[in-house]
Amino acid sequence: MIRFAWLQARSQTAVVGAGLAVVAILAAITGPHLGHLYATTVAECRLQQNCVGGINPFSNADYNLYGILGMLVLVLPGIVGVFWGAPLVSRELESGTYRLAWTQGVGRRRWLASRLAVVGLASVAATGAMSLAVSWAARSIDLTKADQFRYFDQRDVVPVGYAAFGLALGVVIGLLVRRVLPALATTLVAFVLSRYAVERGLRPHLVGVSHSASSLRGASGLGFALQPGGASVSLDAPHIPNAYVLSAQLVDKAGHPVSGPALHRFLLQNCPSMAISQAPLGPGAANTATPGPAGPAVFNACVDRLSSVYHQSVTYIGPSRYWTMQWKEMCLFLVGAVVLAAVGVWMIKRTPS
Amino acid sequence: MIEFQLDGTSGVATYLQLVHQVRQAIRLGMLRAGDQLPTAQQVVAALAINPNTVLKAYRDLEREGLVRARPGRGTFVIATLPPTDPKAQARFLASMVKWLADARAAGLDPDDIEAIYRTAVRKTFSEGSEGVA
Amino acid sequence: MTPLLEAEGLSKHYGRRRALSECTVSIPAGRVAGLVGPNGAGKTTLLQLAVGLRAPSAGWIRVLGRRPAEDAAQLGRVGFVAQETPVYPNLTVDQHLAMGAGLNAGWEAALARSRIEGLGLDPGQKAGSLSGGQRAQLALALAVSKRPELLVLDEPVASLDPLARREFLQGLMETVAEHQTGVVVSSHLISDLERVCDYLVVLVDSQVVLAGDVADLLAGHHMLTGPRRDTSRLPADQTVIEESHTERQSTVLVRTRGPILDPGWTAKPLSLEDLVLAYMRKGRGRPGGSTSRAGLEVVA
Repeated sequence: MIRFAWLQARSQTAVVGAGLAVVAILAAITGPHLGHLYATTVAECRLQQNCVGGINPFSNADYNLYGILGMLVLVLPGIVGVFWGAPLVSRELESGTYRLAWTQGVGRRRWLASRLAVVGLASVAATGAMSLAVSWAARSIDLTKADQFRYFDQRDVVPVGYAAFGLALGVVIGLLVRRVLPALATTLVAFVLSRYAVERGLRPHLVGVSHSASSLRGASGLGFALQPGGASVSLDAPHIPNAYVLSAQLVDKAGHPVSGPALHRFLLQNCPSMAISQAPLGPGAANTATPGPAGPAVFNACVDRLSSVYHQSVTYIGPSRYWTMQWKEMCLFLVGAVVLAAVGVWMIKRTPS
Repeated sequence: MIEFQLDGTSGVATYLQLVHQVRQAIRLGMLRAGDQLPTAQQVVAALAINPNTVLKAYRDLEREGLVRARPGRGTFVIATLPPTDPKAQARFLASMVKWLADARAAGLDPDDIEAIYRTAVRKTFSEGSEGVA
Repeated sequence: MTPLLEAEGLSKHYGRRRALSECTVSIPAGRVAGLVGPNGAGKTTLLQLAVGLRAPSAGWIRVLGRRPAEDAAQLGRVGFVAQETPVYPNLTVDQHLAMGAGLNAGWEAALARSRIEGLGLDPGQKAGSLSGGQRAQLALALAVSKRPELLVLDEPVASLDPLARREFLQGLMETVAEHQTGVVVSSHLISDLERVCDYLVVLVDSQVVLAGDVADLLAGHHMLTGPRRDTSRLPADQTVIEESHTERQSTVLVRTRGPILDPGWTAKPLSLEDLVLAYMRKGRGRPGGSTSRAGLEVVA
């Protein structure tokens, strides 16, 4: 049973195995080198606390390589689902070989459960290994960038959950659609949609959030703009190292968000010499005025007045929550995989009717 | 060992053909007492017929006393059939020739004679003797 | 002895299309049973129900006394060769045998190997490159080597040349002779089945129109010719299956248990093929609806 499950997944296994070998080799070659670079430059200067600017000892080639390897880890679960999961049952149904496979001495449910277990373990192991290799080798780059949540879904343990889920999803879709090409396409779409829905809708709620207040002075990307609704302020969310910023909004001293009209009134009152107070309002008006004819002194004065009343309230997920979020999202997808697998095993008894 | 042939078009049941061929072989001396008949497996492998057909034929032959089945060893010929008495054959040949001459004189052609012959054979030798009147 | 296959009121429909309607049949043990009927009559559906690939819409079916595919033991008792003998094109002959060994508890590897060798098949050849006859033989070897009590075959020789067809039937009959396996085999060619079957089931338009031991069927039917006459005047125990009349002559096929005593009739030889064809024509010409119930002829 097990040997036979392998036999039928031969070509996919070969491709993934080859890919995994390539990634492992690349990681083994470049990883230690990157680690050494990091230790001798960035870590050193952080120790001495004399890092100047964004110290960056890594070359463009390094960044590109790990961009690509990270992408591989990102797409592997989808590939597993589409090319291992979707054809598992649908190919038997389409080609008619189910009439051979399901009249041997093993019931259909056990047949599917065994194949799911074999292919499931293989895909999970392959994805885990690849993620492990890339995460380990890219550690130095990630530390330097201090932006661990940015690569959240191509590092560490979540890809394992994605792979298991993709596989089970493919199998169930294959059972419903019963033809290989439509099943491939449907699985791809369903997988991408599921990942997107979880990433946007569920991920921010998996762990507790933190809040912080951030002054407008020295905020990056601060600018005044003219919107159809009135004058407003635009600025970037602050960069909190290794944190996942969910939102940043302008609030008053009591912590209440500022409404558009209130902000407009404040700016008209307190920054009269800014070009914005003389510009016509309404749709079609020009926006993003720079410190126009008034100059930087006027701009800074306006910012000062603004920041005495308002500040930025940042909602973010702190760096210490990274691993909790990894485990929780992985478990979420693993549970989804198990549920789908159970559905598939239940359904197969009635396929075809 | 006898090799069976099947005539699929003759309308004669398969097992009867087998019985007939065994009888014929015994009569002509091609099968002698002590010779083994092919096993059902061998016949079936050669002719692609139902093994029960072979077993039925052998059972019929056993009932006639021509063969005996020895469990585990096979089916063996135990008797001989005397060839037909040549004097009797000559007698019947002569009467048949006369009959044919009479029929021809009465205006029957070979096809008519053939039809009469077949009907007569069927009547005399058919299995279910309460058959068609 | 438990019948090979029993069904009562068995019906199957796919959406609007009726594949089987109220089929009742009982194939006794130890038979090589033929399932005959025109294309689309329901033969494949009946066989797929027998091996558990599909489930009935109404009625029931039992194979060797049990529900089809109800557990691994039952799957092991029944060997199946599907229409067009599906195999895995990218796996070799040897790998197919390995699959059989891995998936079947009662697998006899020696039997499988000797069959493959006896057929001259190259064990390392991919199944996709085998000829139709070789594929059919491989499928038969797979079904036989798990030592089933019953073999179910769905038109296994339909697309084979005459030599391959003969060789397949030889292989099948050898198995029956050696292991006393029961067989239910379907075909739309009666000539294939005449040599090997001792029980016959005729399916026309999703219904069983005739079923029984071949010897009983032939003994219970007579093809009669005689002067032109009105067939409604025949004795009550004689059922007319088919009749045709010219100006002066009537030819009828009757089913009866008793002898034909009327001297006006001449019996003509009746082959199994003629008998089956008559029932198939009768089944086709019949109007639909409840009157079709009269067509369920079972000659015990």
